[in-house]
Amino acid sequence: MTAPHRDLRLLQQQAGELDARLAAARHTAKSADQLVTAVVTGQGKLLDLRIDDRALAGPHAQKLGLGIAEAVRNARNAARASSLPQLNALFGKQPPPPSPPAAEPVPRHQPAAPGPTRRPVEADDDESFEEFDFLTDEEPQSGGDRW
Amino acid sequence: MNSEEKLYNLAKEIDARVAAVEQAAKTGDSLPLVQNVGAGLGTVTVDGSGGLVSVDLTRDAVAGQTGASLAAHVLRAITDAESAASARRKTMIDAAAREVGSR
Repeated sequence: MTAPHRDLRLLQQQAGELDARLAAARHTAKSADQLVTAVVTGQGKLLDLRIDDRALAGPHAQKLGLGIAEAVRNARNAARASSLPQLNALFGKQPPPPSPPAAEPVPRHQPAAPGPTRRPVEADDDESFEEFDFLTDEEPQSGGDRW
Repeated sequence: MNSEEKLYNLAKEIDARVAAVEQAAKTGDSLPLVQNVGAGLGTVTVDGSGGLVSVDLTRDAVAGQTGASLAAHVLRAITDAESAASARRKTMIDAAAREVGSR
């Protein structure tokens, strides 16, 4: 076997191992009001969704749809932030420079609650890992009698 | 047809197939997919590649739910929608590749 073939085999093996690690990893994040929790794999696949009963009542209920989308987006951002260095290391790319921490909005009704495991992600247009299912979220919209 | 012409035609066919697949992927990415949430609770919308865009809940229907039951319905709708969008995108790409190859 020639050296390039060995390298390719090694890369495939390492990619497979990384894929398995990402599939086994779990990332949990919450909506800003802490009432919706989403759990995703390291690949961004949504595994679990929890909605606090308090989210169904009062002023929270009107923003429940937004909260669900936000929790899922936050969990996927955390997964992406965690996996990007590993992907960069595997494919020999330099990781993006660290960015200053973004200011997190603190919910007024729960100032002491612990925040989600959320880290800001710097999107890098030059990166392309299409074999991994890291999905881009857009701002949700609502209208009519929907929340 | 000599071998150079054959190679040229083959390269042209490969280029056309790549372009068609890229266009299909682009089209697939740009098409949102809306999935109903069970029990008439609303809809979820995902983008063409399967990413969650929004969750729109129907007020009256949600009022009779618990957090756990609503979460189960919404989770199923999101995963179904994301799977359907990914499958649709793959079908479009496969169809584009087949179409160029059969010309």
